Amino acid sequence: MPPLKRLKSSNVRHEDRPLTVIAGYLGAGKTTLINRMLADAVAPFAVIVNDLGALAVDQALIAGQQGTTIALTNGCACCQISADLAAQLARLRQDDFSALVFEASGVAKASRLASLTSQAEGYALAKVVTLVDGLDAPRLLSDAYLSPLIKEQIAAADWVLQTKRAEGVHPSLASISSNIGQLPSSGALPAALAPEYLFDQSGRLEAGIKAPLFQHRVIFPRPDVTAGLLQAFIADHLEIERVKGWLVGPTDAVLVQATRAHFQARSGARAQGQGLQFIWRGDVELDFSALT
Amino acid sequence: MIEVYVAKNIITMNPSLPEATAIAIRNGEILEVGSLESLSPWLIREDHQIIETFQDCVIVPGFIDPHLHPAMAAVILPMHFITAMPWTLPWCEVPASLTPRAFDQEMQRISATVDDEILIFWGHHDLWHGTMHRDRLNAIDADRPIVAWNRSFHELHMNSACMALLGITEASISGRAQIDFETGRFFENGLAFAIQKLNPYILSDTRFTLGLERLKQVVHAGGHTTIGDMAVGLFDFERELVTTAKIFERADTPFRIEQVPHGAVVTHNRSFEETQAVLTDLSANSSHRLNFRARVKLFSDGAFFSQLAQLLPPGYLDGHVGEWLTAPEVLHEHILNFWRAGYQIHVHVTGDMGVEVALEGLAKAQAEHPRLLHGFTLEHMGYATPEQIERAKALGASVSANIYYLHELSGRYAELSVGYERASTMGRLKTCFDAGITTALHSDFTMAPAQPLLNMWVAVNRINAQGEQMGPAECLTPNQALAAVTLNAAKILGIESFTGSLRAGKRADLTVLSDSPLTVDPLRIKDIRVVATVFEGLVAPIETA
Repeated sequence: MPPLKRLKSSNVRHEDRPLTVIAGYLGAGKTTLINRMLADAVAPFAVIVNDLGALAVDQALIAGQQGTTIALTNGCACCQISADLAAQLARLRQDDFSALVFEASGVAKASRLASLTSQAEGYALAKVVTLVDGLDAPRLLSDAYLSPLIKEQIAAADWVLQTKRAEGVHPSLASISSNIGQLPSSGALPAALAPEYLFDQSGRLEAGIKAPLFQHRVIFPRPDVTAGLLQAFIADHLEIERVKGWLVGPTDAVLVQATRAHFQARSGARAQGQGLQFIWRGDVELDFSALT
Repeated sequence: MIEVYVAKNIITMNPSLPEATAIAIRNGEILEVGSLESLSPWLIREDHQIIETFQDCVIVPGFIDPHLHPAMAAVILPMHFITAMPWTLPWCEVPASLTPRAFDQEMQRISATVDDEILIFWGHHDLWHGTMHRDRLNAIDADRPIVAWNRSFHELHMNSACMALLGITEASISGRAQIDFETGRFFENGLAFAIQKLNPYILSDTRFTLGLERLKQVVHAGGHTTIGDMAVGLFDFERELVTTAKIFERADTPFRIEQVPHGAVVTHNRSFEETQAVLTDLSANSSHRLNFRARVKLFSDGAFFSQLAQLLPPGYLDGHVGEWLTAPEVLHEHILNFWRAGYQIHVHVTGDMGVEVALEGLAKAQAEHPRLLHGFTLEHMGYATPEQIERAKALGASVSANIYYLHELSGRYAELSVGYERASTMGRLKTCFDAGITTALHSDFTMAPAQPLLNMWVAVNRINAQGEQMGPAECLTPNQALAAVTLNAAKILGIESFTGSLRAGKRADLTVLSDSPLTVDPLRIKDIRVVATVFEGLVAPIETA
């Protein structure tokens, strides 16, 4: 997880409609919570359900409300070109409602949704709330396929609600986040979970964008760059961790394999001139003009 | 009238008669494959014409790409390609642009020759082309809207004129993550914001139609006579049905499209019975070139190019984890539903953990309701362990692999993603052949060029973009690679009864080549020219640039 920091108040866009993301694995109680919020709501709010991957039941439960169902495909940005979240948000923006709830698909990472929904024009992300089924949590947290996802959903949320467990927060949840409350098993939402609280934009966690640990680039060195020159270049640039590829001279080609501890250059049988790949630490720019 | 084509060599993929020199065709159907002499029982009885156009060529069964995405391609193909890898497109030859300077020169050249409202370049890659910046695009043309879309598709840069056209101001993007106003960069989630603004332009009817027309040219130029649309509905189900019918169901389309619906889309808000009714109806209303059958596409783990494949331990070098496209238990439920109903099931799997979940689903289905010849297919299969491949065989699964991953990504992934051992054995295809699994190659176009000969070249030589051979123990023989783009690919789509090999009774789907992929130097397989295709008996020549 990247480090999280509190959102600066200057970044709160008060004129925008608040948007709350409800995340959590299948069966955590997302739809139940949203239905209760709808029942308690004083001002109308819209609902977007991202449940295409799941067996479709959610939208039927969120009956009679303003809203829509969209497909967000994990990871692959090219899939956003069609009926994407941004387009749906833009469409809904024309309508009259005070806030928006986004029900995430069960396999969505909370941090990804936070950064995705924070892009929406005319909306401001208020909270990411993750629901965890307190009875199912021990199984999910030890499931080889699911535990990284469940942990991420918990760790990246502004507020975690435990559902379906009458007494106490499950210790395995408390060990991941101290920010865990319990959703009462029935009845009205407590004040801390009421729509007014969930749509309050202040004080949420800002999703940190992790700087890349390594950078990489392929360059095509000048023909006069020798192995010795390259070795000196590496020695001078402490960020460089790895160099692999070809030095193509006027008559021959040399295959270079280097780390900070090791430099190997040998004449290559397959002189294809496919470039020289550099991998270096940190987010600094490297100046390759000495080589190209 | 019987048409008899003679050729230097005809590679049939029919094990009982692997090679021939003449093929007799009547009404789009193969009467017999053999020699002019052996065909005589037909020829003495009926009018016939001996055609020598291809007498110096090699004829193979019509190529089949069982997995690409016409609608996605239609969005990308109207863009101008500037890429590190050379692409051969029917309307232009895209040179390899290997340096920042080469990239800029290409932008300049194209900018001077076309009059698009927004100039969209696709293929920028930091590795080769250096850092992009809005000023760099402004320098190409300050007055004209320009977008430089990254090769990965997960990032783009706009120039100032483009931002002005789309109404993007510093204020309108303040506080948004993964957008850099100064450099004009929109990446990952910030890309969603840019796409929202660009959608009206990139999805306009004119561009989409142009994109599909171009796809038609790409498919033909690659030598295909059949392609699989491996997720109808990925983009927009209704629009895809309507536009593909309009563009492809025409007499001048020299190939058929086998349509496989996107499972999550067709089951959405429907009971399984309702889903089945819809799919049965689609199959019944299939046209000559566009066919739905009892097939479905499901998804397991995330995109391979985005390093979102789900991996078994030890996972990724940097410790990040992949993503699920479908929750494992939901995937299993979908598998069981379609399995019981007798469907051929295709599951997108990229990582070995994705494979694991798919195979568990198949094992459950087999335990509950055993089926033979069910055609359950692992699609893409970037990473899989040898033990998983053995289990896949035991359960009767097939493999349709994107081997281009190995060419484009293995060098980089060895260093930056998963380390050398797993990067060099991605696309573990010889193990699949040795296990006796029906194994095919696909392009997932535009993830890879739709050129079966190029894919064959990668599968046979396993040479990556850096020129290094990766995992030589997994190299296929040329014969295996040819099977993987013909007969095996037909089996993946469940259509091997009428295409995929050349024998009496099958449809006359042929690809005519300048040389034999079985005898040419394996390093030159990708340089073989596709001369023409024959689709159900009709010759469709391929113009060369």
